[in-house]
Amino acid sequence: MIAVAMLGHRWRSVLGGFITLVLGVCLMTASGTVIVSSLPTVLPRLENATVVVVPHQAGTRYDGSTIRASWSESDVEAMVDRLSSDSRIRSAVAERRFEIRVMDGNQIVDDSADGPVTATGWSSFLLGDGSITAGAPLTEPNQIVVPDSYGLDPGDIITILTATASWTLMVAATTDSDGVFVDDVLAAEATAQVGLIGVTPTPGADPKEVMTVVQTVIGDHGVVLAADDRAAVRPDGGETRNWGGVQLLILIMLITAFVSVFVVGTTFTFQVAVRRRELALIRAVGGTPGQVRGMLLREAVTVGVAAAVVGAFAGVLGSGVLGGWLVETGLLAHDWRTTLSPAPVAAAMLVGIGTSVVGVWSASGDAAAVSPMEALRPRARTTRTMSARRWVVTAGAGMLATGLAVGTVHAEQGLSIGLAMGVSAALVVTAAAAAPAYLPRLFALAPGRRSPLVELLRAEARTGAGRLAATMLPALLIAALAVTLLGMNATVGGALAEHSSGDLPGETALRRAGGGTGVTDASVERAARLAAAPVVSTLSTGVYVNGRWVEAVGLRADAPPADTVRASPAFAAELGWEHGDSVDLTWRDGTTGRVIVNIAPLPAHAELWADIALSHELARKHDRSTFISSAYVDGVDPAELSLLLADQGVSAEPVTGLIEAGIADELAMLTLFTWVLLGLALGYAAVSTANTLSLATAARRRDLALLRVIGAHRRQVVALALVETASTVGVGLLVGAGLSLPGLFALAHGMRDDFDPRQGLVAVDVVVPWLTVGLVFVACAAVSLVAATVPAVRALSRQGPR
Amino acid sequence: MQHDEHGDLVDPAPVIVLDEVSKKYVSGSHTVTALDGVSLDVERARFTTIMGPSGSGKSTLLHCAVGLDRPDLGAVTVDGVDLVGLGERELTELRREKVGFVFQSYNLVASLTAVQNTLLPSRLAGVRTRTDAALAALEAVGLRDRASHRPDQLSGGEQQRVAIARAMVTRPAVVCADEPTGALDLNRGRQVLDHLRSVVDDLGRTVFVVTHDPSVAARGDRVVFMADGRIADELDSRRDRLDARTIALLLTKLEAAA
Repeated sequence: MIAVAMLGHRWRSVLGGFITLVLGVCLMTASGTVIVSSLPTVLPRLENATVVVVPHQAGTRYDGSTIRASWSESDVEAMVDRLSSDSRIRSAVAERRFEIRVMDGNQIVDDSADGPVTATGWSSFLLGDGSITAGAPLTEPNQIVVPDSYGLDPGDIITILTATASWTLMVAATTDSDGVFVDDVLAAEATAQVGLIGVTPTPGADPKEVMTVVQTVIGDHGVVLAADDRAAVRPDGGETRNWGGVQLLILIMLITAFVSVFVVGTTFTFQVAVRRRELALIRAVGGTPGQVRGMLLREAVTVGVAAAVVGAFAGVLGSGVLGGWLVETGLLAHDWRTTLSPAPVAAAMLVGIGTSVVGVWSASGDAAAVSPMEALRPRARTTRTMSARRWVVTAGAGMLATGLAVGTVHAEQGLSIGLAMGVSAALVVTAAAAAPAYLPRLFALAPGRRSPLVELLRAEARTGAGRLAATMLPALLIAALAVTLLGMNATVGGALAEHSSGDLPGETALRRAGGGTGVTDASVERAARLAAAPVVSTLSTGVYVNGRWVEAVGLRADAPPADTVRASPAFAAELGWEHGDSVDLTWRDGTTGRVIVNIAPLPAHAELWADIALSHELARKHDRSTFISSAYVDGVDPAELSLLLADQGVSAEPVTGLIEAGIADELAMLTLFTWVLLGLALGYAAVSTANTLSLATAARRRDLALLRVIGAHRRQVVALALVETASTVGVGLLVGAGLSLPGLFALAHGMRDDFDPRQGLVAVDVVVPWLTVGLVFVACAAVSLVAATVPAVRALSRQGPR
Repeated sequence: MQHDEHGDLVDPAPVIVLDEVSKKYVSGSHTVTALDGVSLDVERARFTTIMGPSGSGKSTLLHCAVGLDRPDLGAVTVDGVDLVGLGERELTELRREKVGFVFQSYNLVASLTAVQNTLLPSRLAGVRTRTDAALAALEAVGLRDRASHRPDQLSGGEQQRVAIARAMVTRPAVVCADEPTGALDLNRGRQVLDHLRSVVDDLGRTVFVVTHDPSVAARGDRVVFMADGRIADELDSRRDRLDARTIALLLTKLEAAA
């Protein structure tokens, strides 16, 4: 009751905290909703398959996606037969999925924005929840079913390219699903691999019984998935397609939570400082320390709950906008849709309320410690500048910084970057906590001994060190974040640009026309007929050694002889292979074979990700469906070749600028991350600065008015406020910038081995874009000065000391 | 002034007993002895004032007497309760129950109305006090019609009177005041003193006031003079003339000796 009445009276003073919390809860709700919406769910194309069987996991690809073992044809046949024979199972479908390109003449019809386009046999259609929107089910081998988003109509004739074949097919139907379906015989021609078996139950069958049956049949041949576990089957090449967006959102949430606690904490610390007398009065007339503390906590919770409600509402509305923007920037998959779920909203609201409690916690401790004696003094002003709490934090953070610094020097490279960032963070906390101890001393050094303004400034710094420290905090934070984030971006970007420029193995690159990857075998053969030298092509596949996935590359130029594989020296050493050994392998299609091992380095363009090289023919024999990922040709006219390859959906481009374009893409993403996070941090810091300064100036309205009464010009008083703010903010910016540098140097040090291992350690320079940093600083100073001046001028427009 | 003529009044146990109370403050390198073995009984149902030059220890005496501050040595008893060994929470609860406060200024919580301020101590104590009681207390100080005003809508004198109403509403054993008229003009100060006087005369309560103003002390029943942390002299209406002139003369003498 009392808390609410008091809050109602001073709502303006908690406005800063309220706005911060609304923003925070809004961002957390939106981010959380987008993240939850992008979590893997059961794919629509498996919706009707009550139970799904997949092979065991065999490893992880170089891009981080999961790779599973391969079943042999006979295993698949046996499993499907036994499953189909059970009366409770309506059908068991072995899904054969393979890469395709859908061509209408020289025009690519499909959309590969979210990864490679694939097709399956028509039998897989009944596993999914799609339905036919036009036309009739597929009955003939020369028919195809496509998504209605392709804009085709039943009866249209189109060309389907696989890695090795080209089919002319007629559209039998369009569906509302995103799958392409061909006759099962064609599918079996296109690929020997069965990635999963989907089981649909007989109507009326008990799902649990079906699950048991499947488990009994499969045994340890595979993994049986039902219900939500089926989400383990991910879209093709799409396992990590939302990862960029999710990473950014997690960073946004972390910064949001950190800054919210900070701003709310400052707001309430000020509340306590400004209201000491009132709190002392409450203590004197019978409020226990616990009651005073409880009062502040209740105020904070009231603010927190109000902000959480408003923020959650705004966040739900904003999640669609945020998600849409992430899709646009390519950080989320194109098929991303908002799914509203209560969990992230509730979590964000709880975090918001929790934040306000955490923010007020320390301040409420100060409030509880207010002595009732202070109510008896006509004008209490504590001259003690460093509370015991501050000393504890200073000492703690200082020791942490020292410990982390020692760790940075001794830790291995990867860890040392994190530790160095920790050093910078701990130093910033130390500088913030100890500010009341050193700020007055710095101000004492101010030149102009005779100026009354400077004299006043020094005196104010002595008695109001706590206020100055609070003013400095946001500037310190801004400087640290700006220098760290912009410095990281520039340092990483500079290093990437300098050290990533490798050589591409040819003058002209073959690529999917209109962006993306995937080149058909036919394209490479045609190019080879024109080319002056053998075409360098890369077929990214793999083999299983003792059940373990090994990345392999199929080569056309510089290919190993038939029935041999080339193993990199490091990999051979790892497996104990000797030159000339005969080894047993399981191929991608599940068949096994024996090959002779040659030990030699792999070509430069493959050695970073592959351990084994095969001839293109051998690789293709056991992997019929994967497109060639890259191909390079010498001695051709790119324009002429492009024309020749138009019907394959492939274009030929000069390699000049390709690497640069790739780096530029990567840097653009890095810069986007930097500015989103920096913008967020700056926005918060601006709210915090404005909040702190207006509270601080309002709190000393009486003093400023007194100065006017005893003969100071209005502009002298405003100048005092301006000079004080400018000096304090200046100190904060310099200290924050200085303390961020150790982290940057450690980052640069740690990055030295992140590039081409053949080059060994490279020199990485710390780059800080001082011009940009300077602009950020100027913006911060401008916000601070406005925030300090406006309340000062307003305070002076009231008459006399009250 | 004729109080001592009522010689047949029963004189019960004192409300506050200070026994050999000493208090030192360390300020930088030097130590200030604020109280130096002070013993004092504050009698029930009387108006006792403490006077003395600045730095004589009079405020420290008041703070120690009502548990706002802790003495280094000696014992303090308030309404029969020994304060030695009480924790911060127990001290607070004791003050809440047995002591009412009126300060020089800023007596009221700015965000609460007069009646809310009056009710504040009982609210803090978790006692259901009827608004009637608070309104009656405001009535007694002549502010019934200002009950729903906030402090910034009240004059300084009215604020002090609300503080008196607040001090009375819990029926404490003693109402203590530190320069209650210090921030007021003569007229308003007199009004406030009238109300404090009536707390003793009409309600039979105890009032304990610290002041440096002889005209305030003259309204009391007993004046205790302090100098250098000790009780230097005393005037009691039962024995002595208690007028502003006498008091001022004695104070001047003490200041000259200091």
